[in-house]
Amino acid sequence: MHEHHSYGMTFDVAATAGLAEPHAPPVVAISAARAVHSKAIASARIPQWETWRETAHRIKAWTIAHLDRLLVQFEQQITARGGKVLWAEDADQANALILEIAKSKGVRTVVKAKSMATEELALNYVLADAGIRSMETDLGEYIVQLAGQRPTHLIGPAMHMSAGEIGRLFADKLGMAYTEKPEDLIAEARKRLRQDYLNAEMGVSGVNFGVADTGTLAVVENEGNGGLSMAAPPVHIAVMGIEKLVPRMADLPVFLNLLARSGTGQALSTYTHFIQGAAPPRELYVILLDNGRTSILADKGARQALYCIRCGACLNVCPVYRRSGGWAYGWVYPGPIGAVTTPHLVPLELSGELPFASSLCGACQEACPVKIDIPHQLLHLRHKAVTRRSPVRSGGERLMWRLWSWANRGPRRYRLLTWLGLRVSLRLPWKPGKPGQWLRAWRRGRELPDIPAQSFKAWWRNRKP
Amino acid sequence: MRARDAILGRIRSSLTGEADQDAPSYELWPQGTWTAPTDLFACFADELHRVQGESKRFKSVGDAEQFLEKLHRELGKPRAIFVDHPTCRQLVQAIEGACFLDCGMDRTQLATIPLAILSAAFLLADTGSVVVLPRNHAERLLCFLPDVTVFVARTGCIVPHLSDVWEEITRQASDPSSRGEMLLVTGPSRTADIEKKLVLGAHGPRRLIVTLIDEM
Repeated sequence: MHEHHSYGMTFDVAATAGLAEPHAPPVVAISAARAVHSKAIASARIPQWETWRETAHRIKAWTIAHLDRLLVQFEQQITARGGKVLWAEDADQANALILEIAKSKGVRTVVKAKSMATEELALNYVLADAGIRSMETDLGEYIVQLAGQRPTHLIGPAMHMSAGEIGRLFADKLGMAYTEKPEDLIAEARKRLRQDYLNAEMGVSGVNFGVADTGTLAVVENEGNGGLSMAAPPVHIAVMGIEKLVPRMADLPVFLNLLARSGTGQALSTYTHFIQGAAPPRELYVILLDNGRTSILADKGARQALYCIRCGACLNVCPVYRRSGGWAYGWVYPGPIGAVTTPHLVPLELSGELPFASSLCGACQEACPVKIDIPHQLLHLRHKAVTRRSPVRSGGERLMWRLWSWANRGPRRYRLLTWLGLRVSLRLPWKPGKPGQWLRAWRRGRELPDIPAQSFKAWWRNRKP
Repeated sequence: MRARDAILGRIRSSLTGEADQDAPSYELWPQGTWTAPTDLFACFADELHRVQGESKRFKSVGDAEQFLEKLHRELGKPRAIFVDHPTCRQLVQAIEGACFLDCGMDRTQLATIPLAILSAAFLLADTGSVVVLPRNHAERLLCFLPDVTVFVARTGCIVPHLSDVWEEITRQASDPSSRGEMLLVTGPSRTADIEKKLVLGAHGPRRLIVTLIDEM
């Protein structure tokens, strides 16, 4: 794992960092609300929307249950069309493969389309360390790269920044006159990146869906940067998580519809690319990335996390995400899907708090176009987090709950503990409602009542009829 | 090969003992969920307009020629290029100085062309999309590099929705000798990455015009 790729920050620490960003929460919340509105309109136009969600869920379940066979079929089909398939068990292996290709072709500049899989690899940093200039070309990704930040949303990487902040960033880093006008900011980015498309020796993209029976790579995008990154340079490397397969070409339309309508509220994305191998002298490499996905597969209770199509709909409806922003989740995948994916991809010791970053309201499951049961996935991971080594498995807390469990096993025990608790509390040098510094973090947003002089049972017994 | 074997091995050991089932079968558009519009062009034009694209319908090739000539003039007579396709071939004399695409042109040469006239294979009425089947790499790049792209097709190429052309797309995808890219274009290039405000022409064409000719 690359040193620049900070991951596994505890939710609390990361959330504090995210909230310190002056405009982050309001901008994120407003943009998320707009996205929810667009999705509602786009999905309402499809009478069989719910049937499609159910269908997509069944297709993904079948795909994951036959993943070995489908991956081999996909590999054969890509190879038959002149592409090369490479396999990577983790980020280090994938980065080594990409570097090897880049070095063998004398690559100096890489243009990169938006890809969550390459975020997992921290690829930009790895290429930079090797002296290769890697340019993010999706506008949101370009902005966060320029700011030296990480994306805050799966679909809108710069969702946390206001136009004013982006204007100041462009003025500072690109030397253009300050403006808040999105049209001018975008024109500047377009002008600069156009030159990179024309010079780059290699393009890197992700893959939205890999079709097993034809070896087709389906990639969707709106800006045209994906098309230019994949087609302009002579070498195209597509990095694809092994779970991104669909079995048949016939399955694509339902997913293309669900993804575009759920992600951006469009009937179809502006550009839907179907890449079919490569004709010489052009080259296509497809890197199939595991990086923890087989661990998810091995945990039957967690498998549905592999159905995700990375639309970001669960983020937009999540009250925790809307308040905390994407960085709070500490790694590549923010929001509810991040809370159920990250603990499998980075050690639980580092990410064990993520499943608790949810109110379990269920809005994410209702929004998910492939009907992933995210609340139950969160509960499954919460169980793991408290039974294995993780930041939430505290010795003090376990002792407290054991005592609580013992006391609740009989009325006498309960009375004894209540009586004892009251006596001790009333004699404490500080009031439990104001417990001093040591509980300050816990008490942010919580208020403890003053301890009454008698228990409820005693009050009930003594009350006058 | 070590990584491949290790990954496949882990997958197989996780899936061992699980019952094999047939792939799910389903109907994408069950009966009663959707009816084809009576006026395909009106539906297509509405949807294309919704995604900020422009559509023009002409009775004859001559009318389309006049439109292209006017468009070229309005744009300040930029350098224009036509894809060498039967639908475009009839229109090439409309634009002064225009030539056919030389498939040997590289990306730097193609980037100097502000106006491209391309051929659309099909048009999807329910989404306003253009189905493009580029025959070579230069044609593929022309979908993204110019400021303005004009797609030309017979009006009869409009189909109700994606399902109607999926068989053809699948046929091409299934043929191992077919290389490169097939593309659905739904409106001009765009982004909403700054405060979710829509701006056209992020990296690709700022304008997308679909020219439909009834008699061709």
